[in-house]
Amino acid sequence: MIKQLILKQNFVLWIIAVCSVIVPFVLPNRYFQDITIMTFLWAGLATSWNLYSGYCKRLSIGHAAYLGIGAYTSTLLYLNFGISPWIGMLAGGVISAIAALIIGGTTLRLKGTFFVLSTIAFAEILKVMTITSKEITAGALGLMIPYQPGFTNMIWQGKIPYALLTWIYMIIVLFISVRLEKSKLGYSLVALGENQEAAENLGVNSTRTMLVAFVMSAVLTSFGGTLFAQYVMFIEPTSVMSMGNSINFILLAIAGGMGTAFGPMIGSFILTPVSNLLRGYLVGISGLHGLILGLVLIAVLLYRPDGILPQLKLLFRYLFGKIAKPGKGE
Amino acid sequence: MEQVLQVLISGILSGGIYALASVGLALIFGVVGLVNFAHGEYLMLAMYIAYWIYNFSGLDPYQSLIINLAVMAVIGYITFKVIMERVLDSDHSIQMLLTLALSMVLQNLALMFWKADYRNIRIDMTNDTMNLGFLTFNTPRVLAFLIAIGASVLLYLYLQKTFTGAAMRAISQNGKAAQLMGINIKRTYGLAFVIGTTLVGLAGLLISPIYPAYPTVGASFSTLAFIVVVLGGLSSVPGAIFGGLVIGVVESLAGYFAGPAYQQAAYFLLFILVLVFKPNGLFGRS
Amino acid sequence: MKKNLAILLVLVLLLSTLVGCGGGSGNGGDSETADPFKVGAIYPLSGANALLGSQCLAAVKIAIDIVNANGGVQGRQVQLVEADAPDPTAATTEAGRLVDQQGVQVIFGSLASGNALAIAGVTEKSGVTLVESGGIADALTDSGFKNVFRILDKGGLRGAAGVSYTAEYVAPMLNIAPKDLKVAIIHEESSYGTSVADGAEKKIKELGLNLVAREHYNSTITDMSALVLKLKEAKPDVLFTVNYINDAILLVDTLKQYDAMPKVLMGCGAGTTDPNFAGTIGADSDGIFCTDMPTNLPLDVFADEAMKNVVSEFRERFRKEFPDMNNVSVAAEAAFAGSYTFLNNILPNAKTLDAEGIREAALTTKLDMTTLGFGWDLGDDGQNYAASANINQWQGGKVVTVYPDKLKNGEVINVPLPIAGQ
Repeated sequence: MIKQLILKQNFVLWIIAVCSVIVPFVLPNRYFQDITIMTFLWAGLATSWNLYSGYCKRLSIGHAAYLGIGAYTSTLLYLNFGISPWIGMLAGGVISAIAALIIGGTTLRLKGTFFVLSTIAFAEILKVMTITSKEITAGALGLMIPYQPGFTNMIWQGKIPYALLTWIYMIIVLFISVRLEKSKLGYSLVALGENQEAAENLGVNSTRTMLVAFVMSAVLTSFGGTLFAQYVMFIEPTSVMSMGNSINFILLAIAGGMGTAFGPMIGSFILTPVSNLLRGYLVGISGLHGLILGLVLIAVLLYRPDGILPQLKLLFRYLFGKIAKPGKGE
Repeated sequence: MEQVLQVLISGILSGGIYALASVGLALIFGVVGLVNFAHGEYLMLAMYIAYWIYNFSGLDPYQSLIINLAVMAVIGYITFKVIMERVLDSDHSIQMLLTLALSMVLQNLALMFWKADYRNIRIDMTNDTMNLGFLTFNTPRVLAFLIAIGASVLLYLYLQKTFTGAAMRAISQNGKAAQLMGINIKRTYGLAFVIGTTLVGLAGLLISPIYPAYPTVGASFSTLAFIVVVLGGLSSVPGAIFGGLVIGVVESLAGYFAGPAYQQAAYFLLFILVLVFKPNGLFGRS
Repeated sequence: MKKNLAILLVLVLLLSTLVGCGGGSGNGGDSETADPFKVGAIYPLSGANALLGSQCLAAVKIAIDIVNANGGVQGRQVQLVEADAPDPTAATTEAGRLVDQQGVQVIFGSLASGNALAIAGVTEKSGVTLVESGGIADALTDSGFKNVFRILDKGGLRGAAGVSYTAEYVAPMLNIAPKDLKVAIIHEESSYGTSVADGAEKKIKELGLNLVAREHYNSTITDMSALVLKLKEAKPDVLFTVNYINDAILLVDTLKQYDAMPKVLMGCGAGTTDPNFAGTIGADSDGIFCTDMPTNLPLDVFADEAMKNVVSEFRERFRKEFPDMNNVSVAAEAAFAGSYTFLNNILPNAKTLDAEGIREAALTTKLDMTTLGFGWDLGDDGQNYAASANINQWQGGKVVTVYPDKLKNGEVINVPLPIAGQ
């Protein structure tokens, strides 16, 4: 019975996700806690990205735009009007939803490559607009959030509250993703990803399906953007709405397993710490850090394009099988 | 009014380079069906090759053109054989991401080996200007434009007039049918890829007298090439030529009337507008 | 299946080695003497600013070497932990690593203001000192940080200095009254360019000069034709520019090509002061102004024999490491000055080598002169108010200081520029 439960889809993954909350508490110092926070945050962000792009296989390479909308909206509201980032986060979500509706409405029906490039274009336009609207956004100078700890300010002294916050974010997005997978919307998305024509012939309203998923993806990413701003406490257009960030969404999702609910999380759990540790460790040689990441990605894409998750699942089953059945000759 | 004409001409000159940088991408996409995100990195590599040749032998980029292109062709071939060939049948997203990863690798290799320093090639011609009435042209830019357009037109003729060119066009129209006709797909893919990367390398070589080489110089050209190619209709070479010129002009006019800060945003906006109204690009087939 | 298991095992082992190594002695190896004094340096070593970042790091290392050769800080050898921060988010994590894992007490940085602000966010909460010699954003010393000390000037001061000098000295040379002087600003769009340009614009308005154009561009721009043509329409007498080296060269080239060079070109910082500027442009650089922190000052500016030797040793070692450069870049000079002054003059005066002790020493120590050519006199906000920008001019491939008088070593030439357009 228990064996059944353990082998049930996602059970172990949920255990991993839930138990990961313990990690920040047992780590020796704040540096590692910082990495954990970024890991949870990016797990949530990559899962948000995956909601649309992963399931229907239409890559958005401009998701940093929504990260930026979230970060800037809540920060500007906080700095100018004293509005709590909790509310600001929701406001950012609304703006992202509107942006996604407009952008999505115009570009979702485009063929694969065109769509991908339009996402890049949108992110670039947004970045330029942010830089040139200096009066509102302080442009290239960036915005700094003053250190005034407090729950309503979403600012804390220690790392643990941030770790909990980002962990909750990750869990929520995971939950949504799992529910999506099993819902009609989810199946429709996957069907569209496999073969758009066939899916449409079967009655899937491609425009509506994709739009809903796209907006959800944008809004959840935007929430993450607010968390990001509140943690790093300094935002500027070139580092928030950067191509590097946009690529990171994809990198984590692909490495873990695009199009699965837990893939991006696994991707982040492995790559975010490794990437940060690598940078600290290899600091002597410029470019080595990026080179290794690139090579890892190539290796994954050439040899395990489904990501690590399916391999881990197989591995787990194999090990579990060995443990549950000790001694071959029963 | 004279100013505007000058701005226009300057935009056309840049457009020639953009066109050359993009026709290769159009070819690769049309024939191999691959979106090559590492496209700009070949431009970067060619610029470094031109720089090192100039440094060690004093040959300026125009003199070292043949060697440079030969090296680029080899690099293109190696890339194809080692990486691209393996994923020809994979999902498009895998292919795209592979080229994205390749671009990361190439940029960081350049950073590791050649450092972040800007490498300038200054030859006597670098700041020369030619005058035509009240119009002024920077000589290397004119040369670049002429060679770029020349090469692009040559590519077009190649596709139209030669057998392999026809094979490429056939594959781009219907891969399976082409195969049934006896066309060696893999070899044609390889050829298209090599030609494509060599052409963007040529673009890099042409701008090296006026612009420095550094590890990330290719990045903005990659994005630009995509925009041009989409504008022109993804797999259409004449479309890419036209698209390149259009982008050059739009960029220049936007820079003049709105300000250099808006140069990039202007053609991104144009891009989105075209997609909305003509989803297959200006010259594309549906 | 066995293969997957093997791969996984290898990955896990690799990861634990990394974590283990990271937590161990860190990069830098073991130190021979007792209890080294750990300091950190966080600079962009990859990404867009890698070039200047690596020069700054090299400068800091030289400073540490010199100080260690002289006995270190309060008898302890200084041990450096370096970090790469291509953007503010990385800066935050790396600052955390240096503070929490490596236990540094002082961090030298940052070149980019964004990085500086991000690092300050971390160091303030942890009682660690940030010695800033690159980021000029006003916010760094306007935000009430107690442990951030900046040796170089604040944001807009550099731009303002260029404008003030123009109004007071250059306008008369052109025989144009300040209120009739037409000026334009062109700057690269990052926080660096924007801060300086903002300062310049403010001063322009204050002094009543005519601002006929202000444009900004992305430093990766490949063609400045449109920009220059637009500028040509506005016909400024004086052009203030803030650039990095790449775009500075492109700007001058393009201005020459379209015969649009204004009568006076007043560069502010980085690009126009870069040692490779004149080297690349050639003789046409003669007469181009470059306002920046003092750079390549002739040695006799330093009255103190010891300081003279230190500056000379620094320049020699820097040039050995960067043989392609004619001179030391400003960023590197500032990085050296910040770290050397702090290690050599401030820390020895600290009663205790912790945040409070260091702060007290930093604020109470007053110096007439540092290797940057000006003194050290911090306000409560941590800003060095003795910092002042020099007005320099390129003359014969060398940077000649024409203002302020106490550092001056040449007279102004080429006003208006011989290559000025019609």
